Amino acid sequence: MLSAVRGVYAFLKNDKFAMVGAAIYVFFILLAILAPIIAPYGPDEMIRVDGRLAFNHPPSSQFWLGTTNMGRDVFSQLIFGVRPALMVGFTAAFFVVVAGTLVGLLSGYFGGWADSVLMRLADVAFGIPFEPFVIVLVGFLGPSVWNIVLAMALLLWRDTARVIRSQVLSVRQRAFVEAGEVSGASHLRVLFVYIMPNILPLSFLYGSLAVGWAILTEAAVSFLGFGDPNTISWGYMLHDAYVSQALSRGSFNWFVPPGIFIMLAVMAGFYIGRGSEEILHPKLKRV
Amino acid sequence: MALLDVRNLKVHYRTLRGANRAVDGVSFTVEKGRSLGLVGESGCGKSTTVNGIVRVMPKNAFIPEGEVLLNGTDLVSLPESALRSIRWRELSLIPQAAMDSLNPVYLVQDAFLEVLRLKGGMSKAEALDRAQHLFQLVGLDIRRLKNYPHEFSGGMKQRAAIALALALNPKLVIADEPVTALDVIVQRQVLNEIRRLREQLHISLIMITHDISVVAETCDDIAVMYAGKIVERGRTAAVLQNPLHPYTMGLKNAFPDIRRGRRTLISIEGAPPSLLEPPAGCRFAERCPFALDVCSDVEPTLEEAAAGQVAACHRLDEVDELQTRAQEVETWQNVI
Amino acid sequence: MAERDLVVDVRGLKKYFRVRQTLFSKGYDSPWLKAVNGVSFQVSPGGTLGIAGESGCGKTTTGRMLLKLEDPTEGEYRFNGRDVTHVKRRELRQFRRQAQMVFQNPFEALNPRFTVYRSLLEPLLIHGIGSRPEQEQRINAAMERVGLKPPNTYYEKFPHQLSGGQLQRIVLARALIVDPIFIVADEPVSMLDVSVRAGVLNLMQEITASMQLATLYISHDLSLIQYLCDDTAIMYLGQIVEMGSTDAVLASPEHPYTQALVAAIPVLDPETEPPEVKIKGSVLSPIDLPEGCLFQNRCPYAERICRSEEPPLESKQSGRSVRCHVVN
Ligand SMILES: Nc1ncnc2c1ncn2[C@@H]1O[C@H](COP(=O)(O)OP(=O)(O)OP(=O)(O)O)[C@@H](O)[C@H]1O
Ligand SMILES: Nc1ncnc2c1ncn2[C@@H]1O[C@H](COP(=O)(O)OP(=O)(O)OP(=O)(O)O)[C@@H](O)[C@H]1O
Ligand code: SF4
Ligand SMILES: [Mg+2]
Ligand SMILES: [Mg+2]
Repeated sequence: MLSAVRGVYAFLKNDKFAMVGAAIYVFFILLAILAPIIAPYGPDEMIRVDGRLAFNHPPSSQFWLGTTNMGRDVFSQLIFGVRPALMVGFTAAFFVVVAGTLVGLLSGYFGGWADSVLMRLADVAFGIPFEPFVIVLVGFLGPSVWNIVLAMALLLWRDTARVIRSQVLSVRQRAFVEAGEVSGASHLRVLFVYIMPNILPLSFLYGSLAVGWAILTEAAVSFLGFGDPNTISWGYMLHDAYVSQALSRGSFNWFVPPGIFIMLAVMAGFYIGRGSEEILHPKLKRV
Repeated sequence: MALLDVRNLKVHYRTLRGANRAVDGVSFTVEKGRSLGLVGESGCGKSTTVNGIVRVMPKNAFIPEGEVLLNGTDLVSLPESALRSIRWRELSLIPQAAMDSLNPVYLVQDAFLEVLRLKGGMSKAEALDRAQHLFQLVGLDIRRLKNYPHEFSGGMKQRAAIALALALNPKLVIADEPVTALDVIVQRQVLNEIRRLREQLHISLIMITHDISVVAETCDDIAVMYAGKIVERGRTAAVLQNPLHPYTMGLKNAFPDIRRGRRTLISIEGAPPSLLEPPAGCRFAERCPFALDVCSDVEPTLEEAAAGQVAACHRLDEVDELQTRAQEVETWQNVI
Repeated sequence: MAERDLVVDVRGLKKYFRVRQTLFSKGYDSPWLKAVNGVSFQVSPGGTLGIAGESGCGKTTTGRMLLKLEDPTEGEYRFNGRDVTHVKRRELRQFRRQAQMVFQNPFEALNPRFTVYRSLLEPLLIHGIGSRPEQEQRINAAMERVGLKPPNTYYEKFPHQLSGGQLQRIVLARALIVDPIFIVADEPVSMLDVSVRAGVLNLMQEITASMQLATLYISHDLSLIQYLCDDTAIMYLGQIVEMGSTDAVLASPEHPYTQALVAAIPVLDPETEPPEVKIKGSVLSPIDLPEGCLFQNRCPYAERICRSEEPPLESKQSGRSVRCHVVN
């Protein structure tokens, strides 16, 4: 585990893009923790100025990004929106990575019928279009952030599993794995002590990609109005802005900031994942 | 005038941790019609040297110093366009694992046509004709021109690589490890082919290998490299019978010779120094059983110590004694 | 030596692989590749057998079967008096201590995420050998035996921090740490530089002799086999074509293929003209083998019988066995 973290760190250090991606995540995490301190208002607080609802205010020193048509502070919503975004992002990524890694490991290591069954399942998962699936599932189980996470976990393990599997196939060929076998290591030991540490960095990278994906998905689903009405997320903000015709009123201050934050989150995941090529095809780096 | 005259050639690599001085001042000549074997352990700069000569180098490589005179023309200072017309016609390089780097979706024939038409300005028919002639020259079936590279066995790949190098009648062929991956029987066939072609076409040859017996069989002259420098150079027979440099002596000890029966092999313990910060004195000093204090401070220069044979060692005048001591196992133990 | 004292005793060992020739051919109708085609030999304690032959002749596959990394298609394998031909993985615990391997590529054979100490500890953990101090003692002893002194300077190093020669010594130490009785060394020095090969070879020779290990050396390099092995088997297309004491086989090879192999070794003396290699052409595909002798297409002495009948590996009084109609 520790060595996997070390591997990720070594990789980040050598890749400027990945570094930027990681920095964005750190920035978001800080925002999420400090949200109540940074945000001047609550996310769903209806603000009154001189006893009147402060709706559709343009940006000012009091409302940095203006207010919504219900008199809520856009800046505060944006900051608090980091919390559901990261929650969705990290939990979905966690399940996607755990499921994908396990499937990839078992499938790649044991081969045979286990491989056939799991990979056919992956094919099925690949055949299902993602966004419609999420919407249907959420429509079925009710609009909640957790159902979005569930939908992602149910489908997105497929990408991770495929990549991990092919990586396992190549690691399995390497002499040190055979050496473990000659030493008498059991299947489980070979799998978890020899192979897994060598693919964990890759899982981490796929995890970071999944974080971006999950945030984007939650935003998309919320934007379409299938989101959790009790959670103020960036997607919800966009939805809210859209249905109140902020666009036609030219209230850029309302819908551009959440858009930028979504983009940043997705980009961060992509930047980190971009370097995974190098981990997938490492050259023997001898000094 | 020598056909090729390499003078104090340096080829360095830019790396994150500074310049890797992979080739750090090598000099040698190749006369017309003669062959030179370049030997030394992995990473000592053999490929870098010849890649520097033809200036087909990775992006991070550069030549800070030195001259490569081909028929008196300095290739180092030549513009790329002029160099392009010299490659293939005057000298050609067979890179390490040449055929494996061919595009697998093209026929072997395509590689020949490309060189012959683009560099040689031939028509398609002329080029095909020439390709067939080249294949016959190296003893390959001309029908195999229509194969894909992966359909060739190791020996066939090397023959094809040699044929390709000969496409435009170069006067000098440089072959980087042409027989390394081959089985002995195929290796012998390819070496015989190389020998025959050299005699038939009067070509000069530089051959890189880590196997001194291959040099013994194929090359007139030998240059022994160690950590980016040539440490000894001379006629192959002379160098192998009368090695002047302790590294060459050690190399001979380490090399099994099946025809002389069992004899204890002696290794040179340790590993070459890092070329990011090469040691000040002799680069072999750390592993050398004969090193004196001066060896780690002052760099020895190549000096002629026997007729036509040069070596870079501070103790050249004691060479007889060193040769005797070098035969003993104890000499090489506990050096480092 | 009585049969029950043998460490390794294989008879008629075969290994066939299914090969897919095209993308679409199904598993069951694709042809067999005959990687190992009936080999028999014995190795006794302290004995060293070398297997040589050109690339693809089945050396590695043979070695892998002897280590139970590959199940034989046919044949019998007795190890230390016990029939292990069809033993299950779970029942191999004892075997996994007794049979060890030295790998071709030392840069690959050690887990890149393990320190040297951890790599050497691994077999002890797997077999539950010793208490902590005992384990350290064993590791110390193994390291010293392979000439890495003082051992603790290497403990915390990772493989990429060591040279090939050092790594191969650690691989050897790992093999020795469980007190094996049999070692397979597949091309043990081919990835090392000539200058450091001798050190590893001498070490292996000294250790296998002093510990009375049965050793199988696999190499395409006859000079290495000559240096290390009492006996030599020459393989061609999955079969042993000649076997006998190393000195005899190399000094007076009888099979036409062995003759060519010996003649083709480069001559270190530039003044001596290399001997002529009489054979031509190249090796047949192991997928599509003809009737008769597998060497017929390259053999300068082939007669009619060679194309119709497979020559048996005939043992002679001199202790030599040769698989050739013309010689026998
Ligand atoms: N593109 C590169 N960038 C940085 N260093 C390099 C590069 N190519 C080679 N080197 C280093 O330069 C040194 C010499 O390499 P070179 O390939 O010339 O050795 P060689 O003698 O041909 O070895 P081998 O026998 O393994 O082919 C080595 O230390 C190598 O790591
Ligand atoms: N798992 C496998 N599946 C299919 N074919 C295989 C497999 N392993 C080996 N072979 C084939 O079996 C034959 C023998 O291979 P093996 O690796 O034993 O040869 P070798 O004598 O060790 O060769 P080398 O000297 O190149 O290592 C080859 O034709 C090889 O392609
Ligand atoms: S100069 Fe010194 S260190 Fe170098 S080879 Fe000669 S004796 Fe050895
Ligand atoms: Mg090279
Ligand atoms: Mg092999």
